[in-house]
Amino acid sequence: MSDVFTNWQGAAKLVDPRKPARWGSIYVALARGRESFKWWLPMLAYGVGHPVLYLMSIGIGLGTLVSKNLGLVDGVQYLTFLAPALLMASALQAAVDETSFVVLQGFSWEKSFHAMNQTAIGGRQIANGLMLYAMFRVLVNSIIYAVILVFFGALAWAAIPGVILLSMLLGLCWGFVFLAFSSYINEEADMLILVMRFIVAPMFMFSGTFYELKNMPELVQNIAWASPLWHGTELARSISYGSPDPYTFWHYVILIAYGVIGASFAYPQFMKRLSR
Amino acid sequence: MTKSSEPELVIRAKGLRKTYGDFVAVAGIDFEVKRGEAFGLLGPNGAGKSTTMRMITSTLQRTEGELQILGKDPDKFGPEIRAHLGVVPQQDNLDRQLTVWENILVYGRYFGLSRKFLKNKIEELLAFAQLEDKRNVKSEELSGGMKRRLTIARGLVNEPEILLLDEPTTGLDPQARHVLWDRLFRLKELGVTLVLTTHYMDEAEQLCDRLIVMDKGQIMAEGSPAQLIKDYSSKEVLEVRFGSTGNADAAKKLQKIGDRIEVLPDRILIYSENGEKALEQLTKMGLKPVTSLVRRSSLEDVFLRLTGRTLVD
Repeated sequence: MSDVFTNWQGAAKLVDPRKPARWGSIYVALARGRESFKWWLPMLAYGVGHPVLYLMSIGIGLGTLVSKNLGLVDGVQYLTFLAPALLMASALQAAVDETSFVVLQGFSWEKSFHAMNQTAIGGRQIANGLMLYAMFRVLVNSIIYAVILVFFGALAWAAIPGVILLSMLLGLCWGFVFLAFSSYINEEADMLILVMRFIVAPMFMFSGTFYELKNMPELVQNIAWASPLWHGTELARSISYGSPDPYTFWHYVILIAYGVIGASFAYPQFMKRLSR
Repeated sequence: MTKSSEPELVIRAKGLRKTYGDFVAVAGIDFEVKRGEAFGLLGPNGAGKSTTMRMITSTLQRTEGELQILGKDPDKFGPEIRAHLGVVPQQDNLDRQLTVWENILVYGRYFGLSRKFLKNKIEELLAFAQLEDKRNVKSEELSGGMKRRLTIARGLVNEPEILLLDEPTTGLDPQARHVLWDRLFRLKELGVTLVLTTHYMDEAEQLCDRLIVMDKGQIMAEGSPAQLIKDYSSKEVLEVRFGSTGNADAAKKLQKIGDRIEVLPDRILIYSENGEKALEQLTKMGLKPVTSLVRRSSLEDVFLRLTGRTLVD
């Protein structure tokens, strides 16, 4: 067998820097995927189990009670009201999963971003690669979720492409915000856990996921405007019901604004952290 | 190679400086490295070696000064320069969840190398690192020495023009160190430029054609190991111990022996062209050391002379 020395060509001949310059983000996303797929079974179980359990317990269980006492919610059956919101919440959570502890791991715990940055890969490509893989996870997650919703009769087949694209937009925009936030954390995960508990989790409760926001005090209704999940949920309901939302334009503007702000903080911070 | 007979310069630093707030890590240093040379940065912890190394690696921006790697400015052409470098950092930064085989594959892909090329290359590198039987083991399950070997093998995946090794043999057993030195010699024969930091003087002497001795961010001396020893030390050193309470008294009587003496907490070093003769003189004076040893001068002695400190303190 040949050894390292006999076939040595040298990097000048072997490496074409244009290739990593062009495809670097894809290489990072593929590497993240390879790592992530080590847990494909728990991930799949969560992807399927989450919608099934929620739909059975809250959608059908609580839904029966709601329908018996209130009739329709927002003009539709409770299960139909709930379904798009659950899908959006799940997409948001998948994006957060891929842009939170993974970032701490890369910068501080395993320093794998530094390993990437020793090669022809730069900080911007690392950030893009993470977001690419996050989008892949959101996509797979949302497809599974949407199909299950259809089987429960909570979503129409025709609404699937629209809500999936929307879930990806929500994941992308809020994912960039979390990517930026996580990239500012140095070593300890405390701050990240705090934000998960006191911002991400309450967002699930106060974004009109389980009930119409108009039932809440005006203050909470106003706060909901800051919640990307609420904007995503409103847009998803509009797609699911087939009825236009008067604030559609502003929902998109706010979601995209989150993404632009997140990206504008994430990119420079990634590059700064890797070069100090 | 350039048109002239002079070897091409692959690294050129002029007034290179790195500061963190008020702390000066590298205080404006000048050095050059020629293609195919083995160049060392020697110094104690905190001397500025790793900071200098990271600036050469094009992953740390300099505060001031000029730096050119392979003819390019790393602040402007970082990824292009790094495409031709092999980096072995001081701390292993392997992907813990991936297997040994996957770690090299993924790293090779970051250089844009094809899977077909890497399939064969990984086999060569696994043999190089003597990790063939660990190919499917997650890197987090490897011993410290194995991780180090994998990190070194990984750094060779792109067949680098310059291989940068930051404390390469820390954590390796003596046998593995010698195996690595042999492999590095072979890479050098292929024309690979080696740049390494170390605080092991024997490693620097074995591997480096030329080195700089650093302390507190500055270059204290520069030259080949033999030249530095010749310039800053004597041919031989007599080490004598008189017990923890006897060294200071004995040192007063030893001033006339050899070229100069250094009194360390546990021993006295007498620098002389002839260590045996110095020991004879000492015995004639009626001094009876608890232990005595004659050895040739090393870079440790050079460092002691230049800084008044030992390398590992």
